[in-house]
Amino acid sequence: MITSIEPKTGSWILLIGPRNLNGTLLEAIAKLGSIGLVRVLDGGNRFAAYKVARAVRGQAEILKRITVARAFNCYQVLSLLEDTPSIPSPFLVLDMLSTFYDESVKARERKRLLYACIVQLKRLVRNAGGVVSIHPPAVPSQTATELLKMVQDYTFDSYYVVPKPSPYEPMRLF
Amino acid sequence: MIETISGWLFDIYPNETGLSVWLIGEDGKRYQFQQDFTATFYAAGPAASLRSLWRWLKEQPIPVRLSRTERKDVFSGIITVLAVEILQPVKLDELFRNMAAAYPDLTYYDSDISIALRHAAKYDTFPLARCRLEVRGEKIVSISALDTPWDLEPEAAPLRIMSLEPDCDPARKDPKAILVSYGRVSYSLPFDKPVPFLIGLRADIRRYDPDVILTSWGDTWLLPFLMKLSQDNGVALPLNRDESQELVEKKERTYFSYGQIMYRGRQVLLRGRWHLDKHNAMMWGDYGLIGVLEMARVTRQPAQEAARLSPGTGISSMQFVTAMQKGILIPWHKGQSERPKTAMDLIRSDMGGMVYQPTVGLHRDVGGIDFVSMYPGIMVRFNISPEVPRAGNDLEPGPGEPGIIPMTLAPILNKRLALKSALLTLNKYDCRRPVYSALASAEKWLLVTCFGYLGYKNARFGRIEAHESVTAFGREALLRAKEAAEDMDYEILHMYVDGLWVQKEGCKTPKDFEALLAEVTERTGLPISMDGVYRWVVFLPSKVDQRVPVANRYFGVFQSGEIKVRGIEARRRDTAPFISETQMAIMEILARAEDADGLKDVLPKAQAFVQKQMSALRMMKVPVEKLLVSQKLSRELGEYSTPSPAARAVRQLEATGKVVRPGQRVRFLFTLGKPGVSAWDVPEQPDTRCIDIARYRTLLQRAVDTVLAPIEQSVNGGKDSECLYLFPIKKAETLAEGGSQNLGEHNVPSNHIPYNGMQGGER
Amino acid sequence: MGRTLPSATMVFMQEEAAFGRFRRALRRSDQVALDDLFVSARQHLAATQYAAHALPFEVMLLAMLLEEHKEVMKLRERMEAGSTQSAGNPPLPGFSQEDAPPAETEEKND
Repeated sequence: MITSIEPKTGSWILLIGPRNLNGTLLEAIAKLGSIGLVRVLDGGNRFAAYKVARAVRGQAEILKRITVARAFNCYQVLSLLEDTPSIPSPFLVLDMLSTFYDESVKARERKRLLYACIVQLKRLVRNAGGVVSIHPPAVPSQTATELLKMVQDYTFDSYYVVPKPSPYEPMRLF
Repeated sequence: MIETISGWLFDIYPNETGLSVWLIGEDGKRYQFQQDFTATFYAAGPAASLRSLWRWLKEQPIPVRLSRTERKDVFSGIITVLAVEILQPVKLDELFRNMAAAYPDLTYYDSDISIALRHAAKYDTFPLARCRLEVRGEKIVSISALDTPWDLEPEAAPLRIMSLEPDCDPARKDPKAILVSYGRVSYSLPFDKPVPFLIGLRADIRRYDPDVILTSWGDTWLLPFLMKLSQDNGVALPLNRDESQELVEKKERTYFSYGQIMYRGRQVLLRGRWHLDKHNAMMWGDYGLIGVLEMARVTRQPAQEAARLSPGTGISSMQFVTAMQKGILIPWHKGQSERPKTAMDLIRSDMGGMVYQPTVGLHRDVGGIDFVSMYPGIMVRFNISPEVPRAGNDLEPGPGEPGIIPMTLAPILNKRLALKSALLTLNKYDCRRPVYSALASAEKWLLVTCFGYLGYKNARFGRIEAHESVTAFGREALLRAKEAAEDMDYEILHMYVDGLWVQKEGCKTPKDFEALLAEVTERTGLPISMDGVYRWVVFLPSKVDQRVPVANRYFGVFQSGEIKVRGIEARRRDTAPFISETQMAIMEILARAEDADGLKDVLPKAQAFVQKQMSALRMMKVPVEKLLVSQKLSRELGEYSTPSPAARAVRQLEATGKVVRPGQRVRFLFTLGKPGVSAWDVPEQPDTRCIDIARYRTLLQRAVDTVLAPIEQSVNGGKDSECLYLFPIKKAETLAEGGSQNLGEHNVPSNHIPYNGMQGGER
Repeated sequence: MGRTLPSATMVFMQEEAAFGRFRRALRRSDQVALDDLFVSARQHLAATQYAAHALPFEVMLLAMLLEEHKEVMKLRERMEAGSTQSAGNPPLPGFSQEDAPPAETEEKND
């Protein structure tokens, strides 16, 4: 169970898990935003702005320190990473593989792009700490598994996040 | 010897040496010519890579002409590119594929634009364009277009249409004959004896030489069937006019894209002739052939493609033509990403159109006013385009020349406006009315999709910032319209993105609203028009909680007698036809009332009609086809935890060997016992005694209540019959179709009466 | 491309759901009144969204208050109209048998 996410310069933290892992990430964003500038690269439409706003109690100064840029296809994910400067501010890439599961782009091309993205991640962590989140695909496929594995292979610290048990246990009398 | 020939441009496709161009001559003859044509695409990137690419291209077997040039990239401005001109356009796809595999890191432009579109951009032509050709023998020397896609009444081409219809729906049972019609001829040709059948059909095609072969299920069944029959029996069918070419077959495809399962059915296209399949043409039901031809004309896509494509692709095609004509590069991929914005800015800018809660109830003499094609209008008027810089958020036009988007949209908008004004002046019985209506609807459909394409993930010229500017302007325009109406003492009953429903004492005819329309246009810079004045209109609340109004859910009758309906059962695709028709028929009865006061007289007739329909249902006097429910299969069967009715029906279909892919619709009846549904397109007819009549009666009652309950309340209840908060709280019901909805949170005791229920409009 | 943020209706439902536990612990008759408040907020979704407030719930509270105040204004009007009438008159306009409030209040004249 992840209690806190603290990105450190030099490598990125990879979180692999179900979609509800996102909540933890949003909290991390809120916390980082209260300290300084945070950059969010949203690869799967995951940045729930209102949740973050609630977490920081609506404080405008914090919300102005959190920047978001969205990618809507895998080419844009690479483009986004390429355009992000390597400065000492933490960055989070949310749901990085979401657009890579799209089968209208050839598998070979997707792998090429993903590799280029990983190269960019390495560039960015030279000066800042980063977090990358990945959710397994809705429709499993050979290529999807290979893409996931590619990211893992290049990451030092991967964490698998187990789905949280339901908070409502049935009441037992004995 | 150069000859001049005039006619209508009919078909264009690449062949080994250049292009085949078909013309329907003014003289009635069909001509096939050859034209030399080259296609160019561009590559950008580091100079060293481009030099390497240059060498690589020179070594390829496909002849190309190479040069270094400068072109405009919409996002980066003028850049240096390597121009690759292919002398045999038919080889373009192959060359490009190999090149992109060898040099994946370069940026490519103009690489996947169809030949037909390139030709259209170069010569400013389109399907059925009136042209003058200069030819030397078989070769075209020059082409000039004599009309434009924007003409309201172009001279129509004398198309020869042959219709081929199987004698029944092949999905239900095996057809035994084809109904052949052309000119004044119409007869049935059975195919139990294949050779005479094929010979007969071949003779017909040769004799009549149709330009268009119109079919039902031609893509999915008929043409593949004919091709197989022809092959198995050794009798060639001249489906293609150009018999040197193969038929173009596209297989069906299902693929996963952006969280959705997409399905593209099988297609069979012809060369030198058009194959149009009524069941596979996007707009056929509404606009027929006129609509298809208009789409082809305006988007410049070949007719066979225009018929089958969504309007979104049509808009893209138009953008490409504009780009090519303006010398702007068309990127191969939609790679432009968003500029980062703060979370605060995201909250402020990421919104759609404004959707207000209506004042629930029955209202009389209500004016419906709408901005004419608001989003496209905004894009044109305020020059919103990815390459045009935006200053602030005031309703100010972007500086400089018109961008690609406004340039592409302006002519469609103008044509639509011209058609609308023409329709206003035409006599009710003028034979041009239905034609103009069909054209106007085709333009409208195109325009409606272009907004999504501004920001759409795969739109080459999309940019989310532009998308957001448009919605911001839209909200601003709606608010200014609201203010204008309120300043002029109108009551606002409902607002929805680009339309308002307003009411004012003494305003009963369109003329009475003219001053308001003028004021809105003055304040916003956008055209706004009158949809009509409603004799009465009912805004409906939520079915789940009747204190909650629902946007865009209403029905009403204009002064013209025309009915307008949104959001209710009759408008939903999965409602059984019997129920939709009953609901619409009820409204037609209600529409006979001259005004809101007359409703009490027509109400009994409507109620009697309902009794008749209920009784017909009870006694199963309703044709089974009218009880068919049509639902989409939303995912693979294995993914359902509790199968929806559609999924259960699909399981039955699969047991008979039929395959249904997610994204496709399946038709079924509700039946008694388990599994509760009976798929329709199976070989045996379902037993009519098993139909779950009780369920259909519940569905019918619900649909009836939607429409009649407000009218009954209005006529019978309360002193204030003009505008009532109508419905007492009922216990929340569970919804029968597609599983149940848990409404536990809103359970309210039945004696709870809302004393604060008046929603405004109380007199 | 397009909307990342949830629609006004979804935001409303999320905020309403956030008070699920509070609601559950209330008496049934109080739940009914709370539901009315949320229905009031629901009348103003368009304005709530347009406000683009970082904390939409604050705007919803304002909308609830707005509806309450409208109700107060209406009641005030009726009371003032009622006090100028003599006893025994028929019910006030806009008040039919169906939407008479529960018996505890003093609205109904005698």
